[in-house]
Amino acid sequence: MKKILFFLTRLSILGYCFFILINFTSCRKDLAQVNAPQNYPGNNFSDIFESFWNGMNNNYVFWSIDTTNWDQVYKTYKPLFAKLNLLDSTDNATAMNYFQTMTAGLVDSHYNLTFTTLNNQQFSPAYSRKIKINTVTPDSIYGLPQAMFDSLIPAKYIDAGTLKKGIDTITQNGSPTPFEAVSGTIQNNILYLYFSSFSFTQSGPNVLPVLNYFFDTIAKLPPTIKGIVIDVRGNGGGEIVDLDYLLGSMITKPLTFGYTRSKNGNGRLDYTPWAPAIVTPQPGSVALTVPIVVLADHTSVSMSEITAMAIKTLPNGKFIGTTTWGANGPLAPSVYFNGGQFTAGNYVSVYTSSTMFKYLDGSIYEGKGVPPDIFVKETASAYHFGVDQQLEAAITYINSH
Amino acid sequence: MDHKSIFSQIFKRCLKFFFRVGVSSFKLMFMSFRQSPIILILLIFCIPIFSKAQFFIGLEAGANKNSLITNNSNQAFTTYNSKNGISIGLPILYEVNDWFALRAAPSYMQKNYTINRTGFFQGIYQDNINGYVQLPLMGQFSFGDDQLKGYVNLGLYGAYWISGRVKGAESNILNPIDSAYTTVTPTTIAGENHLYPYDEKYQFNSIKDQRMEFGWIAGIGISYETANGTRFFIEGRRTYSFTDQQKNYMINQAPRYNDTYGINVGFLMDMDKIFGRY
Repeated sequence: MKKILFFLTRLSILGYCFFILINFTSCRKDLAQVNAPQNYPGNNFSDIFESFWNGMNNNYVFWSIDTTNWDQVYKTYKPLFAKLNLLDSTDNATAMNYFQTMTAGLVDSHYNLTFTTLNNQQFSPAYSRKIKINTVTPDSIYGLPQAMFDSLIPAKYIDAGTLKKGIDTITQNGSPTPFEAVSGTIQNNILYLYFSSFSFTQSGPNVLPVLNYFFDTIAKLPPTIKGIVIDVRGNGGGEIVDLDYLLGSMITKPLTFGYTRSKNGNGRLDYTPWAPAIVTPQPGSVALTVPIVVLADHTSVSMSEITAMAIKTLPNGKFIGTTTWGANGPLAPSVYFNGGQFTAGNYVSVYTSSTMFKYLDGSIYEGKGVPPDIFVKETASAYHFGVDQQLEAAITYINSH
Repeated sequence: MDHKSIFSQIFKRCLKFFFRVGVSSFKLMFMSFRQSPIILILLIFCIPIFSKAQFFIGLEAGANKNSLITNNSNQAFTTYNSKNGISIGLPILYEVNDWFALRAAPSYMQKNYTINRTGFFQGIYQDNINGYVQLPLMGQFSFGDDQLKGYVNLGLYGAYWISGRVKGAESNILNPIDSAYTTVTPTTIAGENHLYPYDEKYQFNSIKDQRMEFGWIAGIGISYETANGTRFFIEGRRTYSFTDQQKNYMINQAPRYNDTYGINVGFLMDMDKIFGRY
């Protein structure tokens, strides 16, 4: 009897312990399902809001530097969207307005919303900000006229016998787009290249000879050439691999000019380590020692800015112009980095960077733009007098070095 | 360098390590008491029970397999996998009677896991090597004869995430393979972008990382006591965290929990037999 009691005592203590442990097990929070934003049916505005908010929460790569209070956005807009009717056109306009207000302060300057069910209307927070700044700056040109590159520079600055110019039609984001390049020498001692986008691999019969002229001249640089000007003003960016073709022909050792990192988890602050951004020398490349000037301005976006930063890193590189657009994070389909662009409930497409870029010195210029080494502004009055102030500053710089 | 100085250096390093583990354990204990004063009160009331207790102290080491329990169902071609780790500790046993004892084991324990990308993205991975200083407080229930005993441990633990290391490879978007899609069609991500291999210290983020961890711990083992009062043991153990590895810093946060299975071997020395009854 004593033994049985003794055994029962032990058993009950063990039982209590297991009971306590089982209760502690339930201390864990529920592992709620995390759905990809494109999988939401989007049958009502509550669903569309949830998919958009969660898509941003998990995919947006700039939460570590962005000042938008995304939790507050949830608390404020969830009840507002719940009141809207997807079948009501006024409510759709209200919803679009909500989306714009929610995202107006986002630092990502690639960021763009396309409302697929509302005639593909678009909203870019960065564009809205830039336009406002531009309207208060007197004598400014928002974007340089294409005639600057088509007519003014070829006619006024390029040496007549050396002018190479061509336009092809390429496909960008599914639409036919002109791709233009201009090259030649200036004052017989500066090699100049302008191209309208980073689309070298798509260059056709008209642009290819221009690029070939430029790269052939680089490969066998005549001693008379005292400097190079690469003009990416108004260039909206494009393919990453073009940076290797362009700068990789002018260096013989890999050039590290910054770092990128991406999301590696669903948390807003889950990031991979910083990976070095590298320009790889191309076969047959030469190490140029003459000054390389990049001309860029506030409408130089994405790969243009990355190119400007890479050139700034070179000991013989210089960036002349104005502070760039501020969209530095490279993009890829969302599956590549489990982050970046997505579609929310089949209602709105979100175009956003997949990775965050940090310049070699540790500065992140997303949303701010890359500052030039030498600030020179293009003005409307100078343009009307047929003067390219930034190009002239580049010529002066090269001739004085 | 002669043998003596090598041993002396090893001894010094061990001493330094255990000192750090000890200090961290006391810090942890202090923090636990501050968070739950009831634990301190219970311990004070338990002191009379221990007055006749036999006191053992020893050393244990082991291997474990940890899994990070989370939900990433929205992430394509991404899996979280368990990873092996090690543990080392100083078990302390207060044997109240022949079937019940209280056991503590201030220890260093790794709770590792791996994130793997699959399919086209295979080659991208991250090993997360996380070191914790852990203080489990367990009740030990024994059965068997004087020499060979079986036992079950049940209790709670508090831990502090003291170190982290990340090792892996990531796709480096700004270091592309120039021939991709022009002369070669890649079959994996490594054919598109150079993978960047890394092996670096994890930088803790005070907004995100919850470095305190609490949970329950259970073990089952056998011990063998030699004539001089030294007990050798082998024990299977499970530690189950019920605190999220992240602070509650965002809405709709997918929690992350460590869940660890391990096997430990070690010994316990009867302090009474070594130093006499105190």
